[in-house]
Amino acid sequence: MDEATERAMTMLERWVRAYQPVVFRAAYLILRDTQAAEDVAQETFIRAYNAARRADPGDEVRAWLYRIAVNTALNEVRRRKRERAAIGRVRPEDGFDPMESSDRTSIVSEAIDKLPDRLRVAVICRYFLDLSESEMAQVLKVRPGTVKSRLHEARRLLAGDDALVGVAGTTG
Amino acid sequence: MVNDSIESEIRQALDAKAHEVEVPADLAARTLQAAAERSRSSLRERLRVLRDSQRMRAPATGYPRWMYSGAALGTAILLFAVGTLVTRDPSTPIATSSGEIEAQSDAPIQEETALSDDASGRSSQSGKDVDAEPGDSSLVAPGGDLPNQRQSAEEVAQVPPATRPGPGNIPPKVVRTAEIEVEVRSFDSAWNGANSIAGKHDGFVTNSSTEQVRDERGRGTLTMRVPAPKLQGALRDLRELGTLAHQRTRGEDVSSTLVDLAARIKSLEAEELQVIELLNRTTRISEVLEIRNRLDNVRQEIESLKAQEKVYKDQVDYATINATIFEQGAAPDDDPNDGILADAWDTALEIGLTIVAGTVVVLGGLIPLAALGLAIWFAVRAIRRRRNAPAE
Repeated sequence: MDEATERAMTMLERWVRAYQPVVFRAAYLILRDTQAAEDVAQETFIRAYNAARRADPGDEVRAWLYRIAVNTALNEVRRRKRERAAIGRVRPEDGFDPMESSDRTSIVSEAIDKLPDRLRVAVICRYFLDLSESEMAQVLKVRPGTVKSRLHEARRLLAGDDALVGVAGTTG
Repeated sequence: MVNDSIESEIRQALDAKAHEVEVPADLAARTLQAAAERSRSSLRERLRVLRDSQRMRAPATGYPRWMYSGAALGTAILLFAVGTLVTRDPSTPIATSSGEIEAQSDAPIQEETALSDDASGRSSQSGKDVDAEPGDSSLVAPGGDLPNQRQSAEEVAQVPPATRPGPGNIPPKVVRTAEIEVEVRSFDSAWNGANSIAGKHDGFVTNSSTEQVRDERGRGTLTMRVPAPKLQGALRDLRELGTLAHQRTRGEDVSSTLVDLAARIKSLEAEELQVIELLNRTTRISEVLEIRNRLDNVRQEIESLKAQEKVYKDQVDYATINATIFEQGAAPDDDPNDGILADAWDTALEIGLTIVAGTVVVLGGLIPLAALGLAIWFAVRAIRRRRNAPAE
């Protein structure tokens, strides 16, 4: 094992301990699939490891790892969409079937699940991964203004969600 | 305020949702193991990717790749050959198979002077052929006109560089021969003049013949011997009979042959004396016969060597001139059947050799270029692969 590989392996061990749980959970939030989240969590760190063997990743490791994770997860989302589209042509897709729950947190979570992917991922990046708007702009490959507008739209949709409003009405 | 509330709820909801699942305990270990395996198999993986990419890049239609490469190489060779032929200076000397450099010129007058070694091979310094033609600046004094140039070339060629007068140099023994072709207006008067030139220079004519060629035009060949120091004078007189068409002077250095002959003669003469002395002391008939037989052989050998020595000395003392005198249109190489095919063959041979030489040059030049191209290709490929790697 050469020096670069050894150094990359050392860094990988550190990154896995520090960030893999968060990456796994974020992937789960995006994909809503445990197995797929595991795959993304593995693939993210293997990609990071390969990149680290070629070049020093720098100081912003956290944002960099999250960027890899979100991109990997989004790739998986797109792949699944294509699959669903292909299956949907044969068998109409079942509609969204939210879990029956009166718990507000669950209702919010389900409301988030109902958001379009571009908004849902923005929400996960901002409120789960705690990425700044500029970091999100890099991750999502959009302008910072677009990030702002997506977050604003997501909040507006969530605030106006009938289920949320109804729950707020009954609980409040 | 509403925003803060929503944001807080979103955070809580995401956090709760994310913690619905437990991080697999062995995920970290599996990740590290997968990374280690990936690094071990990276080379094999890279080769597989390379093969896959090559398969993907292979043209779906069209000719095989080797055909494109062959066509490119053939085009390069053809362009080089054509370029060489187009740009080659026609006056550039062409190396002949004998290794001599033969100067060619479109000028009607061609004059050559050469000096070569004798058969026994004296010093290579004195044995180099020297060709001279009008305008050969390496052999003439700067500023000389054409006749002076001719004279200078001949004079210089007469004396090999290593045997030119100098301290410790023995004058060489050189057998000189000259060929000269002169075009004349009136054959009869010129022919008479040519025959008289030998006597004028204390020489003699050994052979002569005349003939009538196309349209009764006269042509004659003449072999004359003149004392070596008077060779140039005789040639000059021959040239003055008309217009010089060709002249070639050769010098064969036989110094070593003569020295060798003299040494062998001296040795045999010494042996002859010993044999005679032995003969005088011998009384037995059988021995006398044997010794006489040996004495006869030695004497015969001495005579043979002396005859050779005499011939060489004669050739050294008297130069040989082969002169051709002809009227216009009766030149020796004017045979119309001789030129076209010979010229065509010469041209074809020249083109063939040029193409072969050009091919060798192109192939030789392509080796470092190919190495450079390969290095650039690898570098570009590595850069592209980094750029095209998934955004990380």
